[in-house]
Amino acid sequence: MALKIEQTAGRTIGRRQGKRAVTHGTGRRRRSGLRPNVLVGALLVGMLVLAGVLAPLLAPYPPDQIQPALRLRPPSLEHPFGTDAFGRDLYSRVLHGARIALRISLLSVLLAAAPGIWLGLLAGYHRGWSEQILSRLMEIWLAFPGLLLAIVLVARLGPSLDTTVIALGVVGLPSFYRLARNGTISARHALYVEAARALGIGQTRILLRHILPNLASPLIVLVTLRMGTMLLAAGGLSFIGLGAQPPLPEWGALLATGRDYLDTAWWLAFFPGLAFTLSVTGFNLLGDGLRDLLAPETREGTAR
Amino acid sequence: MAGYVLRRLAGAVLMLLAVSLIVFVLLDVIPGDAAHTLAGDLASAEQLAAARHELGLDQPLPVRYARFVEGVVLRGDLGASVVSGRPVATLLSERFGATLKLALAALGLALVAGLLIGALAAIRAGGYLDLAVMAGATLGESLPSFWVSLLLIQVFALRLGWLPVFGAGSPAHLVLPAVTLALPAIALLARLVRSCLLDVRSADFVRTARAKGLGPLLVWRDHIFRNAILPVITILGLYLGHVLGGAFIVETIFAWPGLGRLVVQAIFDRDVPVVVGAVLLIALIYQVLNLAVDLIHAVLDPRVGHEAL
Repeated sequence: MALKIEQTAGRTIGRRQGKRAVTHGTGRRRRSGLRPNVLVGALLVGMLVLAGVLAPLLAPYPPDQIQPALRLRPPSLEHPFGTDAFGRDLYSRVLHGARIALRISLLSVLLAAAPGIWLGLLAGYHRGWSEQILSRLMEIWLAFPGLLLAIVLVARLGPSLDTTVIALGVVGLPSFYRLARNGTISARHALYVEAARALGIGQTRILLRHILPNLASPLIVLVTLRMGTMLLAAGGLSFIGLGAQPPLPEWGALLATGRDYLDTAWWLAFFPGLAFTLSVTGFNLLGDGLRDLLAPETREGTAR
Repeated sequence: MAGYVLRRLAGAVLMLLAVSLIVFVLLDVIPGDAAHTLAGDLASAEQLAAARHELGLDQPLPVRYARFVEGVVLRGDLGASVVSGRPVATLLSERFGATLKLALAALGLALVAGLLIGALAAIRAGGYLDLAVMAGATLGESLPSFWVSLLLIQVFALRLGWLPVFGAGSPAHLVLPAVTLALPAIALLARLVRSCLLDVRSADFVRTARAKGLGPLLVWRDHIFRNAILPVITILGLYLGHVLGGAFIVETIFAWPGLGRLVVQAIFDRDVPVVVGAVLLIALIYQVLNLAVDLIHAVLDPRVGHEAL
């Protein structure tokens, strides 16, 4: 889990080579068109979004409805994922968990991306000492391996879903900064930027309307991949008790509960874990596929 | 070379100072501070104040930070655990041994399995085996470690009873956590090795080597392997850094007495000196590994060497 964030660095290298090799190995060179991985990824992410948005409609029971008579029932037609120790319907809880998962990945990526990209644009555009300071700062940030900084932040702020989102946003910031900074550095002397400057267009407008759209492709890829890593990281934090707390049907918290019933009620840990795996696989496949479609040249740029 | 290493080491020291300062400041106002832990929940205001004084918590932050750095630099003293009263340095060295054992087991497993699977897939590139390996690798990278460990415990410890559920002590205790930690790395390595081999195999310099009559063994040893191994080393370095300093979840699940579990436990206990010390040690490991990876690169790849040194 901590790995996830760290691993993305490695993953990018692996992916980059992997994709090139596929074209080698099979002799098929498909430069355009959707690959199956994008489709599967989009399908899985679509399922997560649908489940999250429609959870109140799709869920057969309220997620917190306690039915003591139905405690620890194995999966059945009435309760597809079984029930927990309070007789709550696990299927409904996992669906509502999708809502939380969606919120976690969207909010934490937004918290990381918005300031990260803006600082990166500014630093790349101005260079100079302010860029130096910012970049050193980001390096210090990255000297905390993996989730360590998030864990320390959660310790400081107290464990809850909100602090997890904040901590993950803070941890994810440097990768967006780096991507935006590097892109801006290579774009700021491009003809279209010089032209905009010559026309007397203000700095904010140049950054947002001229440079940012040109960085959109790698940023979209990074956002997609990060949604998966954030989701996984948040799940890990709540699993060890440093994230969302139990009554909340967050998947990591559900898994933590399921851990106590491993030998009596396997379904309690199985289905939340499956939901995690499918969602994260979805984000990874979609992000990889988008990279091949949108920004094949920036494969290395998204590393960390 | 020596100059480069010195520069990097100086950078690492500055980095560690910054990291320690950040952790110190962040954990300074942690709710319910160590004095509560020391004095107990029912302590009177005077007892609390006495405990604060004893711990030095009544001093302003800059003073405490300066004292801390002084202690570390001059005496290698990281303070004492608020909970157990034992020196943090001792705790860390005990825990580091367990973590190192786990990390090396996982690394070895990942290396052997990853190389084998990746090479197999490369040999059968485009075939069903290759397809299966690539699909498995994609899934393997997305599997949450906390779920994998629960599945493994369920099957191999509870159902089959082959292995202990958690704890440490015998080699059998090592198996499940090591496998859990190794799985994503196996997936990553298999993918990487496969693609590197395919890439390098069809590179111009390999064709040249073959054309000039070099035997297949020499081509593999001097040209293919040497080039394919570089990205593998980078990944292994990052991975080792992660397992040595970031295996919070796996160590917690399997009750493995390593650094990750120490940090999590210390955070629950509000044992700030232990958290600070452990974070510093983990950051140090991370810096050293990064440096080592870069140096290995410089030695193995002359192109990197000339630029960096």
